[in-house]
Amino acid sequence: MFTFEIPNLKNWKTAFLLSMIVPVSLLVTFKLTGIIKEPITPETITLDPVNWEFNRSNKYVHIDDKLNVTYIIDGLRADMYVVLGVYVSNSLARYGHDYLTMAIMMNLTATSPNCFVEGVYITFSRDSKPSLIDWVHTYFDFANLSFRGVSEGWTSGEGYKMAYVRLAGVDHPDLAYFKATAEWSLLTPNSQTHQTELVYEITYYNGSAYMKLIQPFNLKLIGKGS
Amino acid sequence: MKRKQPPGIVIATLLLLSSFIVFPVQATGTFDWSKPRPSTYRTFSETIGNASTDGEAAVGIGVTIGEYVEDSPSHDYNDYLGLKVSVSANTRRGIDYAFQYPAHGFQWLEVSNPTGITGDDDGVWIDLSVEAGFSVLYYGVEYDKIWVCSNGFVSFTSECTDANPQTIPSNNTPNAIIAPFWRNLKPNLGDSITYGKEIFGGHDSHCYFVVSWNNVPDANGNPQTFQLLIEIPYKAGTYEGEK
Repeated sequence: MFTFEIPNLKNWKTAFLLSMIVPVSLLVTFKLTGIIKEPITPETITLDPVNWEFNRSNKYVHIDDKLNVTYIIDGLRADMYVVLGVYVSNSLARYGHDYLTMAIMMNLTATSPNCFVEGVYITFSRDSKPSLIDWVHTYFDFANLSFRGVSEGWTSGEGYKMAYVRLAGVDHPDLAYFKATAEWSLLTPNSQTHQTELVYEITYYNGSAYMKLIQPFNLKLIGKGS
Repeated sequence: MKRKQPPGIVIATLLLLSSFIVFPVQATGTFDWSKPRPSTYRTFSETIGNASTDGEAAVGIGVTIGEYVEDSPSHDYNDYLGLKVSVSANTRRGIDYAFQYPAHGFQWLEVSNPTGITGDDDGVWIDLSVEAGFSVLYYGVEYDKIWVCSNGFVSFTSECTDANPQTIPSNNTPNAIIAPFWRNLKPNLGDSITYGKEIFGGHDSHCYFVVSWNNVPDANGNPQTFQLLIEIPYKAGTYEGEK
């Protein structure tokens, strides 16, 4: 025969109290023991931007300009490079558009014990005019880092998609290296000026705290007659 | 008593049935393009390719030869040739396909310790997570094994050895395929189909799962050479590339 037992009010109270106390206790224990990791909120160091300009041409130009920033701080030496390669005008392989090639490189070295590279994030900001940023995937090269994401980017009249590469340090490395080649295709006549900001963002641990180093490179292609 | 079917009805029935059967037409060809390697920057205003229509459908393929750049500082001071690749297909029913991509050329990759397929209409399942240490995200579905078929395609779901290319998409197997050159190929008559994982270049950045059809005779005895590369962008984790 089916019987329905009225629950004991005292048991319900105990169960309710336990359901509150147990999770809170576990949460406190996990936090105190470090099982639950706090999100990393690194202190940010933003370096002065490096500015580079180039007059758009209607001819091929072998540029070979090298931008180099070396930054040494307690725990880290960062050598950051941008090599502006060639400017190709009216490329048939790019639907008649102009494009600029560039190499992006960095060498990161932890200079004191317990320091390590946490990750690298490289981004291109929205261009002032319609354009594309393509990565030449066969030229990706890196050591002691692993990919966490990569995307081509574009700016159009309607919107913007950010080009980026995100990498993470493998086993808390004290040395890390990254190199990539990117192409900036300009979807405008060469009278138009383009501008984008290439940003290197390096997160590292200096032995006592996480730090974020930001190095912007302002790249400007000046339209003919501007 | 069995009645004899009038021949006219049989023929009409066969004609009606045949109108529902699609026989894929195969056409193969090679375009040759060669020029002396320039010693300085040079533009090539040339497109090679072909287009064809039968009144029901039109297909076109083309390669535009762009510029030759010497000693590019952003490419490790290597030379490169800029190419644009185009493929399009249009039918009266309005099913249009097009593909274009700026490309930097292709380098044939050799795997140091490959495994091979030698049988006709043969194939093998490969556990990518074991043999290559990764899985593949393909049209939103993650696969950890791949079927390599001697007839010029791979599939993530279908153990199929069909030698005749079919319409894509289709309810018929194989599905979830990558078909670089789906044909009736005969590795049992010569040379090899090999596959394997290989790391190329410095450090650990260029790791591929490679399937190579190297001089494999087709049904007419013509050797066919092509290669499929699936890039493993890094050693562990999830590839978040969006292109």
